[in-house]
Amino acid sequence: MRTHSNRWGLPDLGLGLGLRTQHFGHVLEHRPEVDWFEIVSENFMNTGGRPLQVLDRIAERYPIVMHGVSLSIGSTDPLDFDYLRELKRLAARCQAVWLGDHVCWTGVAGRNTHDLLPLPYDEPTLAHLVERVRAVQDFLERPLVLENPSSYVTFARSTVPEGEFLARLAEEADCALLLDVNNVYVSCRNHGWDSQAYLAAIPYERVVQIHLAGHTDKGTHCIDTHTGHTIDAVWQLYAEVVRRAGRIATMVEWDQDIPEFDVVHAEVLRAREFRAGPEKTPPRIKKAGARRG
Amino acid sequence: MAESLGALERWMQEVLTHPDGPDAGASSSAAQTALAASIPDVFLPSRELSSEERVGVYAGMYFERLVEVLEEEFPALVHLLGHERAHALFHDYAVAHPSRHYSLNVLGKELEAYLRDEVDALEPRAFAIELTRLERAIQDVFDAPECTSLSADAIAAVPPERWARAHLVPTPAFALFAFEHPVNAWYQAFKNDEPRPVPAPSPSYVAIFRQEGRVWRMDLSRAQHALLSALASGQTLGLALGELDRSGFALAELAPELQGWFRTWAGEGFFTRIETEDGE
Repeated sequence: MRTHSNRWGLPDLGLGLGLRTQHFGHVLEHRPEVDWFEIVSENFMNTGGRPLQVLDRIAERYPIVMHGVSLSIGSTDPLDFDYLRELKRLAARCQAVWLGDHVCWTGVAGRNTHDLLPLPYDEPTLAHLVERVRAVQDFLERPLVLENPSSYVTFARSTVPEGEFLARLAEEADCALLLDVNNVYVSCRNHGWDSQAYLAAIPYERVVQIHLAGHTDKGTHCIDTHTGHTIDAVWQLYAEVVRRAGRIATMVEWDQDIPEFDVVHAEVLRAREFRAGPEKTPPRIKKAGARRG
Repeated sequence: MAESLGALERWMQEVLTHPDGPDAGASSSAAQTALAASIPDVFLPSRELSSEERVGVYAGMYFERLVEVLEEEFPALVHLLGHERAHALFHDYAVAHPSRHYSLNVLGKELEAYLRDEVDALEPRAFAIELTRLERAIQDVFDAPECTSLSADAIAAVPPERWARAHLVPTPAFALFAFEHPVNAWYQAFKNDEPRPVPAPSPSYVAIFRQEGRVWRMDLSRAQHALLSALASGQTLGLALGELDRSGFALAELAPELQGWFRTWAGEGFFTRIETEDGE
């Protein structure tokens, strides 16, 4: 299996985990053999408390990747440079290998809904995003790694499929992508999109990280809850991504009903079998993104 | 063209965050001023859900998320008021004081003022407000900027002749409180899973501080609180002790205890530096 090569030469960090408060003690005491950790940036900003001290110790031993939720790159409010300054400071402190956020907006008119709200996929939105991503990258002096969102609505005014929109955004803003395979599944289920067409549109030379996670299936729609095990259909999509792109830094998000560290660790280690080589990759199902029942 | 995206976002935010739900949000004057549109004008239905139902997914999660954050920050207040009342209170607070910061850590910053100034029906009012102040202070001290603490040895090394003119500067992760109720004792009982009835008024004094990243609470006597308050306000030790004396505390009786107090406080990391008026 080849190692993925991206536009910036950013490394395949291997198999990582989201660093969560519940596991601080375990990680500090047992120093588990995890390749790297991803942090939610905001959990370590605007605070001088224990999380920051724990992060210092963990960053001495493991590569750290920062993943934010409040950049609000799609908002029409002005960019928050106080936020960006603190983001940059944290990245320097933990020597983040890369940092990113989501293709979304979180609020407008000075408010923050603390949700990753979807954007219409059309030309004006693309132009707006490209301008802001470039400005943020100039300020941070590094590429921004933007994640495809999970979403529960589609806009009447959208004119471009999400995969294509992400590809154009990455190309025109010269940014990197984080491909959340669970989000691909969730959004394709919710909107009746073809997951194979979605994956085919992704520019893998710009993908530096992959997310896996569990979700909650409500029957009529799926919610990206980051709870439970990654389902088989998502693993099949992951296999497809690895087949297309080679090995890319991969991690599992688990944010609700968080189990023991070893359970979450075992979950991401499942990715080994998909990364080992084509001969070990389980056969693809025909319609990985197909709706249930 | 960005204006039309801005209009869409303002409209959408009104729809998703309206306390009476997305339909009320869409017909609100704020939403209609932003964008004269209905929910189906903006969002497509899926095979299983209508446009309104799809938007409802976001709207439902909005208040659920904020209320959950407040419940985590104010668990003792939730216990005091009961889950249902606390949930309704937090929901109303989130409506009145929506988040304007990237960090959810500051969401509850105005809750005490909200309870005091904007909530009429709140029982037991005075105790609930004081308990809110304590729980919020724990969050504030936890998140306070990093700062090194002065060791007891460093304080002991100050020559006696300089003490009167010394300013002992508390760390940013230090807060003092004078309550009309035994709030800390009630809170500790709650933490120990030994809940108590609402206490009768009785003055109490507490220091909240952070050491090695963790937040601690220390009960203080009235004299200790007065002395620390004077020092925290920037007074020299000499002036602080003088004020203690003028306030009716028997300084001669307290004198033998002072050294022990400072040793304890320094050991707990209350102070970050000593400044003397001659600059040394």
